[in-house]
Amino acid sequence: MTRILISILTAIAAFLLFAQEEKRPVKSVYSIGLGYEKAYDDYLSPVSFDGASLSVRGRWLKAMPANPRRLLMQFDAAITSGFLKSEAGVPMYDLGLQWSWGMKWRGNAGPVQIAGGGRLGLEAGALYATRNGNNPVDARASAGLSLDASAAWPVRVKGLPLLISNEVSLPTLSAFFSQQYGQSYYEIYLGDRSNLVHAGWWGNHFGISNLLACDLDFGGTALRIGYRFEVGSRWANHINSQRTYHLVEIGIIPGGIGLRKKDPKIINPFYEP
Amino acid sequence: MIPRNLLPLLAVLLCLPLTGCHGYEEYEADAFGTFDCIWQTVDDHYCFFEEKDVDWNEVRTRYRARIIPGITQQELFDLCAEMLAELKDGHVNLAWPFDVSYYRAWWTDYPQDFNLRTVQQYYLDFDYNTTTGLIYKTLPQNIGYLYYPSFDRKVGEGNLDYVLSVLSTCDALIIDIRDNSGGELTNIRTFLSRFIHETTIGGYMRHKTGPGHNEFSDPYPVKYEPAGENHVVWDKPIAVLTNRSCYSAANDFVAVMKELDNVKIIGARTGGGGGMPFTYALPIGWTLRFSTCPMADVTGRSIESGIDPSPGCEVHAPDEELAQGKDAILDFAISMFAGQ
Repeated sequence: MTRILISILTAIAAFLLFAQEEKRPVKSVYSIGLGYEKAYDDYLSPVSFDGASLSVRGRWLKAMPANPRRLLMQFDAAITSGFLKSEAGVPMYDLGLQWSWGMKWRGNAGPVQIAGGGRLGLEAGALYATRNGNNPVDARASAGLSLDASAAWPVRVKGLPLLISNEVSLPTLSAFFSQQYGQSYYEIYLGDRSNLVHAGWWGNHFGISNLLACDLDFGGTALRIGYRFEVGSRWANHINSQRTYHLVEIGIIPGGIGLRKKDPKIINPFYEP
Repeated sequence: MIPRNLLPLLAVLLCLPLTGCHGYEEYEADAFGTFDCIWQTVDDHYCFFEEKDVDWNEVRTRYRARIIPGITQQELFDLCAEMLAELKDGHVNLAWPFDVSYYRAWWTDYPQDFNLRTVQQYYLDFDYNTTTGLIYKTLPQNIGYLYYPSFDRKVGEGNLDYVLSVLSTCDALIIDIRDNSGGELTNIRTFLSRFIHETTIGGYMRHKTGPGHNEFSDPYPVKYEPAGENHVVWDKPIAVLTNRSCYSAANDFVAVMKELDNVKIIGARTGGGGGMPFTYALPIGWTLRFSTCPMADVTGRSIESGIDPSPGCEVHAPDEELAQGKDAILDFAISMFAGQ
């Protein structure tokens, strides 16, 4: 019995010592996305609008103490905007805010790191049709659970370490806002707030976000170049609202991604061999 | 290998995201595309088909047949405007950079019953006060006169406090909203709050719940709050002067005021406009506006076709009399208060 107790205590002491030696810094990615957006929202207009899209995003990653090499926590935040026009030149604007918190588990299949997880997210935003009178805006707001999956593959091109990754996020269950088919926001302001919140699933609140990225590790910092494809749609109370984005993303990762110079005491949330 | 018995389940799971893709019709910006887009948008959202007894399918058949190859934009605009006029609704407009279609018969077929110049010259003696669009003066009979030309003009709380303080020594108040063709519903709330002393249901509002012509929500009460103790309020007799050109928000204002005990509506039946309009951009770049949310008075009666004056208070002011300096509607209100 004493031997078992000593063994356990020794194991705990070793674990704590090891845990103290390992560093789990918060790593971040800051990026700007520029590209194209197409929007259709029949509460505002029976025609579709498209134009330029601009977004600013931040991601913060940290290995978790329970299993630092496998378990990661991440926060994401984004501001998105769209400057759209109909084919005939009628303007429309899109503004959105996104925030999410999630956990993911990662493992390796040869050199490829595969990860999967889930996250809780909040989104708010609006499409604004400047020429509309009593229906100038279609607001969106939701809280939901998304499933994430990603794969990352480190390669070297002319001595420069790169991490090529693809990440897909698929919202699943949610609660989201939608006014009634012909309801004005004035009526909501007056107090008619019945049936505004809906339970969402893929059939009425579908979305997907896919980021194909290449991180160029220069050591002290890394440069991210990526392509993001994103869809957000809502179908409730006979209102059909859809947005599609194609964005080129350029970002920086302060501190690099640990491919050029690996410190064994630092748990790298981007890639661990 | 995936077990065979799991394949159907996997197929269903893979197809689930596709259920989130709801298609929509992409209208061409040509003549037929524009026409169809206008017709369909009105068909889906317009709120008075039944009340106005309009057979919209028949209207489509009749007007679509008139689209000929080579039709110009001007001709198409005129054709669509003519089709929209079948709705007989002053809230229906088709707009493009060179014109805005407008159904005018709701007021052009009726006497005007008002001439601002006559009031200014013969009743106010060109000596009156103005603030944020309001014209006001104490008449010789110690009756306050207040002219509000448009609910598009926002009147501040401070402005109203001042105006009503100035008129507070009067025995009665005449609120003249003739030719007021409406504006912002929120301005009604500010104005009306000075004439009520408790939370008041002024009417009911509904909205479409689907594209069917009779898919509507339950009526929702539109409540108005009094201005409160920190503001000047009016509790003496009031006359609201109306003509056929009182429309939309002005019509809503009359519907609420008519229910107050100390208020008489004097003049002509209002023009109506009891449907809150929505606006939609069209493929060709034009914009379409029409009634989508029907309003009713406190009894539940639609106010789309206008509000009658209070019993015994229907008065008209013929043009020839107005030209000679006599406003029969204003005279009626003054006499009514002077005789009290």
